[in-house]
Amino acid sequence: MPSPSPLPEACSVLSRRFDAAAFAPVAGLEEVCVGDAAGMAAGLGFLAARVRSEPRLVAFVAPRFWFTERGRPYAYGLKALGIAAERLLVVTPRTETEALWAMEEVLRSGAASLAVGAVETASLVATRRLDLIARGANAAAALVRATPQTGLSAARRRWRLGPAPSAPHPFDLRASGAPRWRAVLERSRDGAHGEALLEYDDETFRLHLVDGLADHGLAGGASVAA
Amino acid sequence: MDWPITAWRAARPSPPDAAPDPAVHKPFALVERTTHGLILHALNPAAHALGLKLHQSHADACAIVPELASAPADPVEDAKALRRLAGWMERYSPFVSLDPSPGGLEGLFLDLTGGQHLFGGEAAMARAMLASLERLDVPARIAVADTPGAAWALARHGDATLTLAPEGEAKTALAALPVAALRLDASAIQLLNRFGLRRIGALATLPRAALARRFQDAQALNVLQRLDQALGTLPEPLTPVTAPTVYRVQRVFAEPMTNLEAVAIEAAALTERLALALERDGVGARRLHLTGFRVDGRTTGLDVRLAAASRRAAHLLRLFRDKGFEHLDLGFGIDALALTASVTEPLHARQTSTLADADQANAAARDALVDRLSARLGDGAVLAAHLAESWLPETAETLGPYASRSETPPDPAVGTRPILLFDPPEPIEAVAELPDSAPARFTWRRVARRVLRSSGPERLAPEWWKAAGGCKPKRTRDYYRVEDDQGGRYWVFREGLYDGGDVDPPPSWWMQGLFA
Amino acid sequence: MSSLAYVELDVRSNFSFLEGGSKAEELIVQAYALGLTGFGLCDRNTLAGVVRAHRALRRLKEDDDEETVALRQAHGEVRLRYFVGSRLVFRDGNELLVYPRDRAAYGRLCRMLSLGKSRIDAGGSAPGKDDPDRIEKGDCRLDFADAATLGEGLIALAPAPERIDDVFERRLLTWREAWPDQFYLAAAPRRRGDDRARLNRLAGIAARTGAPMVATNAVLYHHPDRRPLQDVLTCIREKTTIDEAGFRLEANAERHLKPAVEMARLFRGHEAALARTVEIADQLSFRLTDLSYQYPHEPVPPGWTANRRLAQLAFRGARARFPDGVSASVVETLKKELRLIRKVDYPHYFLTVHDVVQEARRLGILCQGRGSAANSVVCFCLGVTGVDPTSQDLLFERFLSEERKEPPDIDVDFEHERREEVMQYMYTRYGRHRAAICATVIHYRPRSAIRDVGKALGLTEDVTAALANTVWG
Repeated sequence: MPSPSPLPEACSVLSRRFDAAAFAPVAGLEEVCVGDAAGMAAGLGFLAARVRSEPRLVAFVAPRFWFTERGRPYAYGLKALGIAAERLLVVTPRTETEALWAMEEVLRSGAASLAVGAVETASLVATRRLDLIARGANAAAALVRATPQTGLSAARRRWRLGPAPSAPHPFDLRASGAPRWRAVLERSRDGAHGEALLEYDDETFRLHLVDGLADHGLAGGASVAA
Repeated sequence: MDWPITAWRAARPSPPDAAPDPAVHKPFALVERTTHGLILHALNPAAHALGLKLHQSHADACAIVPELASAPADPVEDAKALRRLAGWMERYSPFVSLDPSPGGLEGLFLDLTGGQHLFGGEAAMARAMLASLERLDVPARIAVADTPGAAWALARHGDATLTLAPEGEAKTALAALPVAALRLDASAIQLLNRFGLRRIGALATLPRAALARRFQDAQALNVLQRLDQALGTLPEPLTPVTAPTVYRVQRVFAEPMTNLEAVAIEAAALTERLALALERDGVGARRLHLTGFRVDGRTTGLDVRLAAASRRAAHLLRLFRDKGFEHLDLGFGIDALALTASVTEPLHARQTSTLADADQANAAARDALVDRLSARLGDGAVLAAHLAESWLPETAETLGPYASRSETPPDPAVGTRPILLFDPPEPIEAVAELPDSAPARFTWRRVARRVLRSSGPERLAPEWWKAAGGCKPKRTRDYYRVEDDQGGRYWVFREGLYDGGDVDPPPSWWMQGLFA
Repeated sequence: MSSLAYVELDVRSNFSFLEGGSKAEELIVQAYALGLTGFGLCDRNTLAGVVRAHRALRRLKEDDDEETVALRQAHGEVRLRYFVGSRLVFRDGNELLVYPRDRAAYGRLCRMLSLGKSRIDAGGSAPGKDDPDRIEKGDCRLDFADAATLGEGLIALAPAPERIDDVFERRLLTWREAWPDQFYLAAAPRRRGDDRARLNRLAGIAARTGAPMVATNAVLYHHPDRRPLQDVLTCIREKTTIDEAGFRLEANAERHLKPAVEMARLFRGHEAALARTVEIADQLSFRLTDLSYQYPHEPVPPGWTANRRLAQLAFRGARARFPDGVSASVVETLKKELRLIRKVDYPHYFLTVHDVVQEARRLGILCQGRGSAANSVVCFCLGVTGVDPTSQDLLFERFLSEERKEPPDIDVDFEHERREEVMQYMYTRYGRHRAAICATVIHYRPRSAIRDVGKALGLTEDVTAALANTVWG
């Protein structure tokens, strides 16, 4: 069980020119490194929050043992992130190889708008295939893992995701408010990188950039999940 | 047309016959214990031939026929076996009814309206029935007539083992039969005989007023009723053993089928046909039964329930596949397969054919995907959220096979819920202020965490109407949303109330889920 | 034991049919046992249960049987205060709890409920079975505007709904401004995980709308053990079974009477909300004992007093009854009875009865008084009863005595086929707005209760029928 990994201080990517558009979902493959269990929830939340409201499936692929360790996706919780319960598809193969195969099938079918796979190791070839298929189906694909990716990957973006203290609650100072996540864009095909504090509003189903870390707020395109 | 079949039972109808050959050739009886002692419940032809009568006392019978062999009667088992046979006879008609004659004289009625052509006409059908019953070692007499009454009469009192009364000629066919063939009670028969009315023909020609004059009201009515039923002037509705289903398709095979794969293929064809019938009427199925009719007289089946009506053939077939064709016990083979939809409801066309093209295409792609994934990974690996109206989180939503998910989940009135759920929950250690404050600290997976923010409790009481059934009774849970100093947001609960008398064992704390 | 005071002002008894799970008596005893300062009963669009609670409290204070004495020994002097209220449920589904300050306000409340219950579909034709406008027996068609018109003297509490939003705040403001008396916001902890936030939010709304927040527990039963029954009532009401009811059932068993200490804990940070319950209670001076009989004045000619008129009629009637002369003993008895009637102040009652009987006789409708009224010479002379009590040595005290502090029962039977005419006479004489037929609240008999509960629990009909047959009634 990996110990909770704090977002690295060594992340020297506080780029001032961090474009909010980096958060917008895009067809293709992304990788998300999450660390511990709480991080996984944050990672899934981040991915789910960027999914638009449409009838296509949101698929989650993970080997069976993964659920006992990390918990199973809960549709009532996804509803708060703007994803209707009937869109959830959970696929539980035995091995990571099968998981990658399943992700490809899901994306290729065109029936899903997002496919998330809990796969620790994926070869460059595998990631390239996923990225291609995802783009071809106009869908988003994401691989979530606990440990950072060491090898090469064809993913368009690589994130580190973790929870951050939530926003103040409007009516109760002692309770958690809107969830917040610390997102570090470590690598991106177009060169963008940076760190941001994101906040999710479950009344409007929108993701916001909390002040401080970028030049401008997430107006327009980067507010996700119409 | 109505087709009654009467099976005379001399021995117990269940397959492993208690007394084999001797029961057929030597005098044999089944005896029943009554308040008057042991009486003869059933007799075989040999016993009949020696002059023994039903309901005779066993002692008397043994005096007349010392070599009489006997065994205890089991009316309960007999009734069950008759039902099983009735189920098997459904291969000829969906409308099989039990003949309410007393024990030892049981029979079956089959209404074959509309189905004769499947077997090449009434005569061929009747011959096939007789032959298959013979193969099952069930001695039978069959009569085909316009009414159940007429058929009953001909089967029991007619001359041949197989009688076919031409349509519209019930009166002629019945004329020569004794009045007992009208299903009258002994006293009525006696009275009729005393007046010289021994044959049905004589009775039928008598003016009805005269009949009424000679009998007391109830008796007269009964006699007239039976006569009218037999002749067809009074309808006699029968209650089928299995509730009639409107949507039913079936296929009869030339050779018995022993291969599950082949059964699956046939089932696929049946779902296509059924889907067409459902579509024609604008309905969808909620319950389906696949029934295989075995050569040994038994049936085997698969039942499928749907949370939402559907008539998509692929979907319906998928559900049977999920159930598993291997659960069918084909025995020595099945020679007919039937698919029925016993519960249907209106399914608006808009939900299927007038959906926007994109949605329809999407639905098709989805079904195809699910099929492909299931084929390679197994049906238990392709799951969807099954929602139920329950306040308890683990029953409110479970992960189950995608195919049988509810298409319209209930609108949850629940509070904020986590994105990941631990089912079963993991134990934690927690420190909280009494009686019901949120924890200030807790340890989960050996890591101590400090709680900076919290809300709750959300109190969920156990569903008292669901019996605990042996395991310890469930207790009220208090759920809390807690956030630690890193921003990790957890859903924990305490099982049992500190101030509610939950002492033995004391309340315990658990991790139920993680919030995004 | 702290001196925390709390009055529970939102309580439903089983007179809120299929909503409340406890009887008024049980609620009273439990409120007392918990040491509550007071408790107010407000059932759905009715005042039907208020008498039982009142009587239960009196019995608690006065009865000498073993059980009650033991209770008093365990919990001390009975200081529980009881308040009469009602829960108005308007046509649009919104609710308002009202408590009358005094007798006059109580009268207005009664008028309000009568108005709601006598409203008939303006269209005139009987609506079909599934027509939402169809009136079921016991229905009440009231709008907030009706209540506000008659609301003077009634303290109102608006319960906070499940969903708190701007719509609610606007409605609360409108209501508060329209209400002619004090207006509060009643908040109850739902224990759904967000109570602290909810109460804070409600406090904000209360401040902005000028409707101060009051603490309640939205009580549905007296003790948490009653929850299963309350769940079954919900199933019967919703015409479903316990397995199918789903979210229509409460998530927990918290809707019971709670002591002040517990309420204070649940409302930590909003202690003023508890104090307000006492503030409200202290303004309610109405008691059921304030109600007394008020008789119509009409049968008395102007210039006469009722007693004098009654005496006149009685003696006149005596001369008619004893054509051979009224004996001294009869006169003496008449005077004695009339004196007593004057003392307990019931002459109007006799006059009204006499008036109706006279009219009936005039119309040729058969009628006869019966029961203990036959013991009264006055009744005999008035022609209300038909037997001379003096000839039978019947006791007048059985009919009316000073010790029994209640009016006498004069039962008069009218010819059944013509009773409509009698009723029409009363309506015409006194006006439709002053005459009414007494209605009784229908309640479950054991058999029907078993059948309905069995159905709710999902038992098959033969099982419930078999169970139902094991009891009487």
